Amino acid sequence: MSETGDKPRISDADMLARFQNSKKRPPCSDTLGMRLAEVVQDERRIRMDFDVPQMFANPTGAVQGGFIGAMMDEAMSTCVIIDSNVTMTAPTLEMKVSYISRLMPGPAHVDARILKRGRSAAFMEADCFDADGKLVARATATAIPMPFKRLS
Amino acid sequence: MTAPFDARAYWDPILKGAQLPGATAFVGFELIDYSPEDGWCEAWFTLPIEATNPGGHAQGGFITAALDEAMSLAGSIVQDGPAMSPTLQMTTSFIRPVPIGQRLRGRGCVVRRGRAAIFTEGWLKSADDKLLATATASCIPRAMNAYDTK
Repeated sequence: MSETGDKPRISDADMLARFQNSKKRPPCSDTLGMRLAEVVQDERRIRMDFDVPQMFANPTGAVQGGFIGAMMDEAMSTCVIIDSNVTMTAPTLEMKVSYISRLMPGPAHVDARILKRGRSAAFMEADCFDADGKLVARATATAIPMPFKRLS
Repeated sequence: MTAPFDARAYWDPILKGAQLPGATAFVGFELIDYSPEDGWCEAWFTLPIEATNPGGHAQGGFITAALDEAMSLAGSIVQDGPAMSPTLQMTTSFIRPVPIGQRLRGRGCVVRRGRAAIFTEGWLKSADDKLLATATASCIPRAMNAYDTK
């Protein structure tokens, strides 16, 4: 549970539905073929599925590392929003990604979790897996939690 | 003996060509200049609307993607022959919000070129020279023909 005493939680299933049915997805979510697949609020983690477009390939045919970073940033940022019960967003200050293995375009997923969400800083971690479940990248990030403003 | 590798003859058509790889084209890459001798590459980047985050700015990962382009190119052109520099680890600091649809100046440069590892750093600035993001990375030198692109 969070440290900052947010309003009562909705169930994991309701939270998942809320995101999956959202009509206010930012463009970057659609660009990455992102879909929130699992929410476990007690464990402060989420799983996000992606379908990485061919256009993000580098000359070797693998996904360019920055876009793997984009997927992980997306998952870690969403994890903060959910962990705060959709009261906070968290602009990323710094993100470090270790590229463990190649990722080819197509299906992939990211597991993201909160390490700590304090008042002035949030720490997150994420793992990216390919379609066979092989770990391809790990990321850590820090962010500043800020009151959530809805997109107009 | 074969002629020594002419880096500019090799890289000019790739970096100035119309057929940029998808990832490179997505971040709006336009070459400014590069130096195979000193290991740096500067380019304009324009992030497309598809990179917009809920706050209306560029999502951090796409900023990382632009920096990765400039830094990986620096790591590639510094090698003696057609080569790439797959990134092992990269850290990006998001210093200011990065605008969408505006030309940004990006630079990647080689900090140290070792036999087994290349260290790079890079920055992204607005057109009026405000620092927006910085990054450091480590990568491995790899000759292009070492790739199995199957």
